[in-house]
Formats: sequence, structure tokens, C-alpha cells
Amino acid sequence: MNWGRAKTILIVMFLVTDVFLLFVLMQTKFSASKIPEKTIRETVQFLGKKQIQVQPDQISKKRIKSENIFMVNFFKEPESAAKKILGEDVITVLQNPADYEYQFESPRGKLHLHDQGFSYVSSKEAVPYNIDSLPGAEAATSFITDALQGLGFDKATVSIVNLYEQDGFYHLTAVPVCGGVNIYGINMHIVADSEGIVTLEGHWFIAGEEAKGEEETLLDITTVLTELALKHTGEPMVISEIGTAYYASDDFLGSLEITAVPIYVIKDEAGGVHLFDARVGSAIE
Amino acid sequence: MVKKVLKNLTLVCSVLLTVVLVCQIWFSSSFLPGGYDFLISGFKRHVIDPIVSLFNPGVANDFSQNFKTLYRPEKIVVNVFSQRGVFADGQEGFQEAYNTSNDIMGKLLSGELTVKSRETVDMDTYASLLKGKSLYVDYGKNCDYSLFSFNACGQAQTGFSEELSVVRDYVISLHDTIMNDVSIYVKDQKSGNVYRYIVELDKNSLDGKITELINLSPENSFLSYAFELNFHKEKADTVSKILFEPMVLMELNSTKLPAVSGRKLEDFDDNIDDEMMNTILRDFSINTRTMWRYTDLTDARVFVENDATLTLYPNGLLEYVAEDGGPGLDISKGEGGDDIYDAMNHAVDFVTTICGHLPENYFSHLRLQTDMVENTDSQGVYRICFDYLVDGVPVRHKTGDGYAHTIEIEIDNGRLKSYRQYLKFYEKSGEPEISCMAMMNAADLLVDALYKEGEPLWIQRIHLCYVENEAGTLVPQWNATINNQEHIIQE
Amino acid sequence: MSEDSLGGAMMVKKRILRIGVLLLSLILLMSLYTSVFASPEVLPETVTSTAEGYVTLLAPEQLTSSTTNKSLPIAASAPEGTVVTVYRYSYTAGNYQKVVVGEVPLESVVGSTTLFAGRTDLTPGLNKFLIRGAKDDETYTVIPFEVNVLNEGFMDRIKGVINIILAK
Repeated sequence: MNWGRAKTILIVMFLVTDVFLLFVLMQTKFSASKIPEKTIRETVQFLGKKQIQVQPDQISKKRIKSENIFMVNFFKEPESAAKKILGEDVITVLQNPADYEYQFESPRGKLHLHDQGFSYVSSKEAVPYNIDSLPGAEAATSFITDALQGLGFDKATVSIVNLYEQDGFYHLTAVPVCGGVNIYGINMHIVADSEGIVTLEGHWFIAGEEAKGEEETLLDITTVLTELALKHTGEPMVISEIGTAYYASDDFLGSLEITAVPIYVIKDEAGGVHLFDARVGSAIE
Repeated sequence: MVKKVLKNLTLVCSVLLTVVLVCQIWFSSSFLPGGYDFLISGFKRHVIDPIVSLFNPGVANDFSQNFKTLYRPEKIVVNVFSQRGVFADGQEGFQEAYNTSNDIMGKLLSGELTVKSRETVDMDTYASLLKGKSLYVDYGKNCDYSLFSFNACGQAQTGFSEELSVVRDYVISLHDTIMNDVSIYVKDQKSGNVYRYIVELDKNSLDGKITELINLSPENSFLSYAFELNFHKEKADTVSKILFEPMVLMELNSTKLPAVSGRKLEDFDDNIDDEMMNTILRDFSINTRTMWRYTDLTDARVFVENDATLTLYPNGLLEYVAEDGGPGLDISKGEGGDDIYDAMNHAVDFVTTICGHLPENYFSHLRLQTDMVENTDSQGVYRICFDYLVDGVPVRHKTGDGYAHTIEIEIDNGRLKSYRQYLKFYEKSGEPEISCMAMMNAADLLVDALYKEGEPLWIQRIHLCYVENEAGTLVPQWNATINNQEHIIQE
Repeated sequence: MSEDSLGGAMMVKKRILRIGVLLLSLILLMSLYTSVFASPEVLPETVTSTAEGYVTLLAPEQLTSSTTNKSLPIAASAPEGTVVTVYRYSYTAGNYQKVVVGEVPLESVVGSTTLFAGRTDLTPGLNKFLIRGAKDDETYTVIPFEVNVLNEGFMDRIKGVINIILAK
């Protein structure tokens, strides 16, 4: 037997097989990372029948991977948090760990912690803005986030999502940010005057030491849009934006640690915001 | 020559590349659901396990082995007239006494022993056997006959199923006052009848075993049964404030128990705690990808899925609660069943699974502690409890509204509605022994707390247990059962 | 000796006597005080009850009984607060002596259960006991009872006879 020739034939056969298998592997991986065009078209059609308008290019073809974020309550160690906000000269007025209730005071202000959240009141007299000298939204935001930094909140992890002025005071809502992505569900309400922060109240969490869990591929956005369509009853809707974010359920905000989960955020032109759990596709009320 | 070598190398490489690419395609998670896990677990379930069970039938019959471990008597008393040897579960000699008695009972129920005669006797006769030469086996809880028989002889139904429904204790008597026969007396708790079975047995061997056991037993010269003291009967001329079940063993002197301390899981290794939680979550079918997780203000770790919540408290309590109205976790593996036998099967299997993840042979310290009888009020609904024993003494846990067993399960027709388990280990601490108040003093306190004029307290059981308070300290206390309700007596 | 020194000695004697009487009274008072909480160590053979109802014997059931056992459970009922004590008759001393088991007397104050229980060893032959329930030193009930300890050989002979009868 001519082993030389046999080997040559075998080499050619295996190489051809390898090329074919490589092609199949690439194709599999490629298609696994993308939502088929057909699925997107059919989803758009289905939504249309339910009076929801969305453009195909608004729907990302790429399958998204994300992970849970482990977050720690800013006030997990009450005394330490109080020092950050009120300064080193803080005194403890009330300490009831059994019911999770604390009150701290310092020349800077007062801080009250309880299982429903926290509230801070500045001790200085409020100095509202003059109507004529109101700074713009951007300037105000920058000023206030600097003031938050002074109270121990890292401004890199704070995002202002809502701002309005009333009687010379600015009212803002801040949400935490992780990796450039807002975390819905957790927020604090800020009232600021021309000199700084007057009051703070709400909940606040920061990303934990091992903040991010294992990355997993999320549910297809087409599935979530279908769920939106099935739930939708009413006036025609035009979707303006589809994105991802994180969400921490408000059922658990009175906790020491929570997990923020990846969500889809679907905004419509009427100003409505629809949140869906990106792991299972259920709507978040 | 070089060309030949190159050719060979190319061939080998191309073959290897083919194998690698094929593996990549087969085991890629985009191709198979769950990737590797799907193939490996399927291979194990359908190929490996059946082969293993062929060579080791005991492994296939898990419920039988596990139930035998969990269902044990509370105590076995060897009586040689006025001499008394008490073997509590966990003490030296108990296993030998149990093997002897269970072997005889198993042979009786399976029909291996020839029954020369069977008759019913009254309770006084039953009690009087303890004054002679006998073995008294007390499980301390009622058990449906099917389970009792299954434990003794491996068969749930036998020729005695007609007359025996619920069993709690039995006596093997070597002599009666006149004839030399071996008699086995079993009381059916449901009908109240006491059956006597006279059997053919090697009496001399049993006699020798009893003598051996009594010599092995610890010094127990201050133990009397309640019936010997006539504490089980109302007095003719005065109103009794307290009465005891005839077979209650009265400890007349104060006793001492070893000091015991508890250790939580994280005392072993922080990593064990995290890994174990993931495994336990899977056992409770909680999807780690879709669950909600948080740590509440009491530092309890909470895992929430749509239908249930699993919580690990800082004191070591693991609690699973199905949502109100929710179906609960199916632990019947699709086999359903709503009688006590099925419920026990499912409960034991589930507990074995959870305990299998815990270090230090946790499972061997457990004992079933509730009555195992049909629930006539609500068919298919059962509450099954297990205690952790330290040298035969159970550990209880003080809670806000009472005292909990180490494991408490609620099952509704094969579905788990709630599960509570203290993931802690208990052992002797080496500190000085703790003195416990005398049993009669404990009885005095019971009367002070519970007695109502004209209604004597009827003590069905009374024994010592360790009570773990909220600070984690373990204190021995007396535990009395009155009207099927437990009362832990505090000094 | 001069009259003065005699008078002085008399004064000292009187003083000593007074102190002695005072001390004796104190001792008697103390012993009376303590005797409320502890029954007598010894009772005469002829002791009888001064009141009824302060103790009822529950076990043994009969005032005269036989056994082959080596120890005897004793149980009684008595009103709460009664001091119940068990005595054994001593043939050599001719009186009842308090039973001591492992250095602890077989005696206790009855609590809310109104029950008393104990166990004592038996010696071969006739064992005479007495149980006393006392409200105080003057008010008590006594119940004598006896247990005849038969040897096992005797019982075997009885059994042997019965076996023969039944075999016929």
C-alpha cells in the first residue's frame, strides 16, 4: 500500500473537514450573538397590529450580555456614614439597632436613619436663589453634585435624572450609577439653595466590593417588546428609545445589601417609561 | 525524510484540529441547552446510576436506609426485676440494645418467628412486665404501623396490619410470673389494645443478652416507672393535681448534663458557606439567574423567586416559605401521594439531600421527632420535625413565640410549603457539667403554671433537652408533653 | 477569805450564771428554730400520728407486702409544704432512723404536685419502714409499712411446683 499517497489524501480530507467545521463554528457563534432579521421584522409587524410603532433600526440586533450588580446600603455602618455626612464632630442622639433607627447631629446638620430610608437637614439657614440669578440646569447640577461630594457621596456614582426649580430652590432626583448605567429603583430627593444642599431624603446604595456578578446573555429584546404589546391596551404608542439599565426593587430598599438586576428601558414619545426584567421578561410595575 | 516527518505532523495536527472543532461545536452553550451540564448529568442519571445500583442495591433504596437512621427509639430500658438499665439514644450500649430488640420485632412482623399464641391483655399487665425481666423499647412518638413495620422488617404491610395501626412502644418479656416463654407485647395507640404474642425464640441467648446489657448500663438506681409509684392513678380520697402516663420513667434525683455549645457553618470556613448556599438554592429550585437577592437589616440573606422566599438568618436558621396560595416546591418527584408513608418518604429524601451538603456527618445526629400518623383533619397535610441530638439529648431553639425543632417541614400533598432548619452543629464544650433541677421540682412548676381546679395535668412524656436561647447559649431544661402539647419548663 | 472578796466572787458567779442561762436559752431557741425545717433523725418505735391527712402512702400499695427485688420505690401524696420523711426500723437500736441514700436523706418538702417519691435499698428479710408527713414539729401523720424480701430461690421453688401442676 502506498502510505504516502494515503496520507496525502487523508490530510486533504481532514483539512477540508476542518475548514467546514470552522465555518460551522463561526456561523453558530455569529448567529448566537445576533437576533435574526426575520424575528425583528415579525416583531415590528406584531407591535404594529397592537398600535405600537417602532422602527427596526431602533431594535438592537446584538444579543446583550449583562450581570447583576451587588449594592451595599450607604448607611450599612451608621456611625461611619454619619461622619461622612456630618463631619468628625458628630454626636449620636439616638441609637436603636434592634429597630434600625439612628439620629445624629453636628454643627453641619441632622441625620435620621430608619428602615424606610434616611433624611438629612442642613443646620444653616436656607438662602434661596434670586429669580434673576438662577443658574442653568447644567450649572445647577454641577454645583449640587459637588456639594454632594462634600457630603461624602462620590459624584462619579451619582446621576441627576430630574430637576426643577420652585421658589428659588432646586429640587432634584438622584439615582446611583454603575459603569455609566443608571440604577432605577434607588433614589434620593435633593433640595438645594444658592449655598448648597438644604435637605436630602430617600435611599442610597453604592456598588459593593465584588460589585458585578457573572455575565449572562439577556432575554432577546424582541421577546420583551412582544410582552409589552400583549400588555398594552389603549392609545397608540410610539417608541422613542430602547435601552438597558439596572433596577433594584423598592420592596428591598430597607436592606443592608441588595442586588440590582439588568432591565430593558423602553421610552415612548408621550413620556412613558416601561421597565422590563431582562432576565425573565416580566414587566416591572 | 524531513518531508515524511512534516507530512505525519500535518496529518496528526489536522486530526487533532478536527477533534477540537467538533468538541467546540458539540459543547458550545449555543448548541446545547446548559452546555456540558446537560450531557454530563444525563449520562450520570441514565448510565452511571443504574450500573452502580446493580452492584449496590442499598444505594438505590435510599429511603429505607435513611429512614432507619432517622427513626429510632428515644430510649430502651432493660429491666431485671428492680434493676434498671436505661439506654438513651446516643449513649453507649444503645445501639446494641436497639439491634437486639429491633431484630426480634422485625422477625415477628415478617413472620419469621412462629407465633404460638396471640391475645389481648390489659394495661396493668403490660406495665407489670417492667417489673420482671424485659426490654422496654420506647420511641416516644406515635408511628403509623406501615412505617413502623417498614423500619423493622422492610415491609409496610404484614400479617399484623389488621390489628396494629399506631405504635409507640413495645415490650419483649422473657418471663411472666408463671411460665417461661418469650412474649412480645405491642400496644396499639389507636385502639388502646395491648397485644401479646408468645413466640418461639432462643430464650437463653436473649437472657444472656439482657444480663450483658444490664451490666453495661450506667448506674441508674433511682429510676422508677410512674405506675410503680402509682402516679398514674387518681387517688380515691383526694383530688390529684398531676398524673403521669404509666410508663414514664421518673428520675427522682437531680441530674447533671454535659455543657454543650453550638457552631455555625461559617465557623468552619467562609467559603463553605457561599458554595453551600448555591447548592442549597438549587435544591430548593431557586434559579440563581432570575432570583432577587438582598441582605435585610437583621443581616439575614434573603433570596426571592416568584413563588417562594429562602432566608438564611445570622443565627444559622435556614427558612424556606412558599408564597401564600402558591403551589410550593414539588418534592415528590412527580410520584404524588397523600398518605403518611409517601409524605415521610418525600420528607426524608429532601432532608437527606440538604444535610448531604453539610460537613461533619450532621445527618447522623438527627432523629425524627413528631408523631407519624395520618392526618384525619386534613388529608395529605403533614408537619414533620427532626431534632438534633447530643448524646441522646435533643436540642431545641427558643423563638419569639415558642420552641422550635432543628428541622421543621410542612408538606401538602407532596409539595413543600415551608422548611426550617438550624444549620448548626452542637457538641460537648468540655466545660463543667450543668446541674438540672429534679424532675419533681419541674413537675411542681408545671402545676403552678398550668393546673386548673379539678382537672389534673396528664403528663404523657417528660424528658430533658437543651434549649438554645437567642444569644446562642444552651441550657438544659425539662420538656413535658401534656395533651400532645410540649411545655418547656423554665426555672 | 474576807467578806469583800467573798461578795466579789459571788457577783462573778452570778454574772457567769446569767450569761450561761442566756447562752443556753439562745441555743435552745436556735435549735427550736432549726427544728422547724428538719425532721427528727430518729423516731421511737411507738411513735403515732398527732394529726391525720398529712401523708397518704401510694407505693407500696399494701402496708405489708413481699418482694424479691433489691430496692423499693416509695411514693406518697401530702399537702403542699409538708415535710415528708422516710424512716427505716433499726432492730439493734430499737427505733426508726431516717433513711439516707447516697449521703442524702430520703426527705423533701412536697411542692405543688402534692407528690413525694423516692427509692431505697432493701435487705433480706423483713424491712420495716415508716413514712412521716409533718406540717410542723407538733403536727404530723405517720404510716408504718413493711416489706418482706424473699430470696429468689424460694420463688423458683414456687414456680417449679406450679409448672409440675400445670404439666399434669
